[in-house]
Amino acid sequence: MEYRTKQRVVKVGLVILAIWPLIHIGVVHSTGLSPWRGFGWAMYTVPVLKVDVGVRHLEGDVGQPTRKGTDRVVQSLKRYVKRYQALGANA
Amino acid sequence: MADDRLNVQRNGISRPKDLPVAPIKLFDIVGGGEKADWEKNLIWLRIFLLMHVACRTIIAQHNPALDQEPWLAVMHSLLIAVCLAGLIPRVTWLATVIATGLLGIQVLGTMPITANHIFLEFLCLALLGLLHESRIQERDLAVKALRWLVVIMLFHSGFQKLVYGYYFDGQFLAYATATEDRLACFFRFFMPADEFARLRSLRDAALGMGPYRVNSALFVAISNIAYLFELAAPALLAVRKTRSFAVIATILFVVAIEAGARELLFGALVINLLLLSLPGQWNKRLFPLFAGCYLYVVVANFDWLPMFRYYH
Repeated sequence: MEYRTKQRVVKVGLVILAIWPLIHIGVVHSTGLSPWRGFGWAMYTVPVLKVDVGVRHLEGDVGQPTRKGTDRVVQSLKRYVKRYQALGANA
Repeated sequence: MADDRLNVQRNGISRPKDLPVAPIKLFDIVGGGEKADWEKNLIWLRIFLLMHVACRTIIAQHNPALDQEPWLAVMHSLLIAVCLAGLIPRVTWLATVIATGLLGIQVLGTMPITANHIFLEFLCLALLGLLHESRIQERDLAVKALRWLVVIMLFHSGFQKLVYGYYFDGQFLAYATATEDRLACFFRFFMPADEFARLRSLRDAALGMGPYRVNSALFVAISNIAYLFELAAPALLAVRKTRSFAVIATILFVVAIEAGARELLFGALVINLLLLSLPGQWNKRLFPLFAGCYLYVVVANFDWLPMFRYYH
């Protein structure tokens, strides 16, 4: 790649980097995306709501789930929570 | 006066009065300093970045709480191997290019929940993969681009805090003090003891709990200084006359932040990027210190050495 092309790529990239956070504010507002994500440099701007996940077994005629099955459900829920904290209702 | 304006000193050489002064381009404002140091600084920054990515990834891989998808685990292993291979002098640039590709795949594959610090690593590696310090024009372009990267990132960090408005009365920091032990350890010294105890009683942060405000002028002042500094420092970093002072002040600011946030590796990365703006070969001079710290952190991650709890 020629130097002039590299120079153009770098300068255009920096301009996009400078402008994107302003667009990021609108994206966060319209989509519910967490400001901590999306490369808007908005970390430590809004509180991250804590979410705790657990599984409670109900007693009754249904057989008790296995420990492995319970762990899988909890892991799946935790993954969903992580996505929810980042993407909001779009998760 | 017009004659004086034309008689400008550039690089220590006085220009004759009859020659016009070239306008300074915006991109070149962050230039300046001894170019003889730039090549060495870029070489050591490149090595630091590879070491940083390798160590961060090793620590992430070893984290038992991390729920990683299989493809990401494979990507991490490749990234570690490539970055460690890049510490060999002959293949450093090639390793940079490959690591950029791998990190790029990781960034795209985990979007939009990718962490910003991983994106920053990707940008720095991409610049150093595209531009080689042995070519003068590319070396100059790389240094200026990396300086601009720091300026842009710092400015937008402050601007976003201003936009979301959780710093004017210290609400964000109060909530963080209430709910996060690492920040509580730090901010307890900046508020009355009874206020601290009240905030910590709100640790569970259920809906309707609060208020997350603090009756301490010092705490609120610190909260406002945080974003004001991030807004002002970029201008001081960009201008040559104030740059050295701004670099030292920003490094101290980063150290103060990480004393609370304990994001050791991210703090080290930002400091190394800031060192690029100081006259002298500081990236080279301080590399052994950072290498020692990183080695300690990695070894401590496997519980072979004592270490306080920290975050990436």
